[in-house]
Amino acid sequence: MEWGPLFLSIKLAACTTLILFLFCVPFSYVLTLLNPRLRSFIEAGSNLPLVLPPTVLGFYLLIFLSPTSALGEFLESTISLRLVFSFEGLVFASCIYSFPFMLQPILAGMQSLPRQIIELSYILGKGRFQTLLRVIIPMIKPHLVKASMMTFAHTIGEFGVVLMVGGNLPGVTRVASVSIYDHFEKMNYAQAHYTSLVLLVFSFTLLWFLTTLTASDQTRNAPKFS
Amino acid sequence: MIQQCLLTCLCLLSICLSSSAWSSALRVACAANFHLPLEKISKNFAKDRSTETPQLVFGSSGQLAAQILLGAPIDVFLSADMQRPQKIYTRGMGASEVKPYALGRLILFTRSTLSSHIISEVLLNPGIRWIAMAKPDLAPYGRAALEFLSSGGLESKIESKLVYGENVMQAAQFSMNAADLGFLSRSTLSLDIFKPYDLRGKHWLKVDHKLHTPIIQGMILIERGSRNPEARTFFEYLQSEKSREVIAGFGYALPEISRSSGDL
Amino acid sequence: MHLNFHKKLWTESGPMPLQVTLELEPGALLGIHGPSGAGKSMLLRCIAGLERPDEGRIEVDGAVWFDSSQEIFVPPQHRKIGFLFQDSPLFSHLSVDENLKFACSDTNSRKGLLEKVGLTGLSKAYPSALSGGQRQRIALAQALARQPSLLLLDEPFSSLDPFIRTSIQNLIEDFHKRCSLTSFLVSHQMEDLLRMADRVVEVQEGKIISDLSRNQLLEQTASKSLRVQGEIIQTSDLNSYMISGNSVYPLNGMSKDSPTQRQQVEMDIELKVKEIRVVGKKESEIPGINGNK
Repeated sequence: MEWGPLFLSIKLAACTTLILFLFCVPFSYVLTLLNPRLRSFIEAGSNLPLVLPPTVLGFYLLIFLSPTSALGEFLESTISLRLVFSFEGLVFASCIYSFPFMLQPILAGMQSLPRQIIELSYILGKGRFQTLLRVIIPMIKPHLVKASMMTFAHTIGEFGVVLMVGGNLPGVTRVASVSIYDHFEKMNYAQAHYTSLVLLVFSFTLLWFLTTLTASDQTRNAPKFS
Repeated sequence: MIQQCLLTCLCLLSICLSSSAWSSALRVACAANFHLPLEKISKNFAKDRSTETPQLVFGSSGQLAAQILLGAPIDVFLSADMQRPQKIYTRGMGASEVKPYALGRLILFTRSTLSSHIISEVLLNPGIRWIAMAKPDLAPYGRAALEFLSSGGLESKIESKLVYGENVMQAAQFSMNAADLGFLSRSTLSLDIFKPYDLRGKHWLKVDHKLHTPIIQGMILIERGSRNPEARTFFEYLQSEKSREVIAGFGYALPEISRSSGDL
Repeated sequence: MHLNFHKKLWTESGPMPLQVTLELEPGALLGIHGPSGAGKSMLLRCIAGLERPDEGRIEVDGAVWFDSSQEIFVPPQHRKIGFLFQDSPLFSHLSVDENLKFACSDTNSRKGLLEKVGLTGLSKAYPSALSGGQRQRIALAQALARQPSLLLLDEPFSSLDPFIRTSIQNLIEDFHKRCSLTSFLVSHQMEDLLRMADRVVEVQEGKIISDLSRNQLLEQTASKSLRVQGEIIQTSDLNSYMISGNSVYPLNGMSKDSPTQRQQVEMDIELKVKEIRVVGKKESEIPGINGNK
């Protein structure tokens, strides 16, 4: 049983989820403050990773970021960062690939908040940032958890993008999904089944744990207005 | 709560970024169908030279080649054909000429029992529903299978029954599951799963290799690898007698040892 | 307080410019009356800073909150106002005490406010467990927690039943006097304004079409003096009613010495009538009654 690929998958999913979370919360907030036309334009753009087949997305990322391209060369020479065939590259690609899964539920949550609640916070002296921190985030906690769960699960299951951008390098970018596929290709079915099972059980346990967290929260204070 | 989150975030990010990608280990990319011989040769190499086993990356020759062209950290590339390593060479990323390392051999395989010892009869049997093969435009084994079918005028007759895998390994997977027949590489029989079916005449028939253009599998030393002396040594080792014996043992034919490169 | 601004609004029937010119003395309670969609709420929101007028100037107690010619716009966070929204929203993820803490960190003031609204025991409760009337009291306490000088009330009574309405009105009046507030009260029901406001402006289609003091307004409405004999009862939410025969008169403006137990009394009641609605056989709802002893 190889634990390396599993550990890599979990690490990748955790990093991606964290980074996307930290980005998408303020990003969603800014979106809600924009005028509707601009917002829908940006929203549509942010859904593009859903439309492209993962391998195609991976391929284009590879082209744009490889050290043979202008951008890749620039990144390597200035901050010694190579975003292809490296774990950092996987994180970057996963963030793009899983972006809609984090953004959509958070945005939906924020838009579902009554405008009056936000205005109430302003009236009571809190600025935009304080309002985000003390009012919006606590009130959309179920949406935040859902977004994180979906992003995490989606990243664990990522294959096409990871294979393209990562290159299946053992110990570096050979995540569980790629490893399982490798075993299938070589027809080592026993290994494939075993790794899949462990991955499934782990992911399910984690998601179940997170779901029970939100359930208990919701019974405590059911959001209800007037 | 916010502070805790930020701390966790920073910790995780630092862990993530500390794992550097660009190690100095020897990395060999290879077509999926050749994985058994290469694994054995790598083990021999490590034992003979008392070094680390090279890291092996298997996949579709097309995808591997594309990634190498875009900078993948690979030292040696073993393709299922000659064209892809040739492309790497013409782009100036090769540190050696393209050397053939194996000649692929095609077989017709069935999980059940062959109805005849003549391939055309087997293929035309009305009881056959699906025949698996690799994609002709992408995979050398697929191209060879198609050429074979055309030579016997069989292509049009069984066209509707053909099912395509991305490469010859995928065709093997189909043959183990839903397909009644499959055009596979002879080396597939060395896989554990196929060993019980290694009964010539009962489960498989040899496809006459004169009826298709040779499946020449070629390899090349990549520019990056030439800086690593181990890589060049491994490249030479692949051409040694010992390695050639291993390759032959897995059902491949051996190319003549020649100094010239290009299409044979 | 000087208000002079206009803002272009859009309705179903087309553009409707909101044009507001008002001067107000500190300590006044201004009623804003008009049909739905007239622009009353928008007026309030402009004063609060939740909306930005197109042009004009808003000056409060010498501070300029908005001036289009000088491009001044003070955001709502920096205008010290209390705002009571229509359905008294509260932060559902915070308890009552935490809701007040959001506005004011001083424990004693919070305790005092809760006492004044009569809900001391509910400090640990969550908004979802409160009734409509209770929520509004908390919202009122929250609005006043920062000790604003200006209080804006946007249709605070419309979602309340008549029995609770009176007690909230009393509470607001009490606060208004005690904290020396300047208040704006928006309502589409004149009886509320007659009871509470000392000046009422009428807004229709974005324009102020009348601006009258309470006395002037009362003179305009019909009134009738009645001698009524009946029983005064007080319900559990501290509202008083005069029951005479088949009629029930909600009594407003009862002083502390008003009879609180069921007793037979004879009283002079002045009825200020805008409209009479007979609701049922036993009860006639007569809005806008001032009880005089």
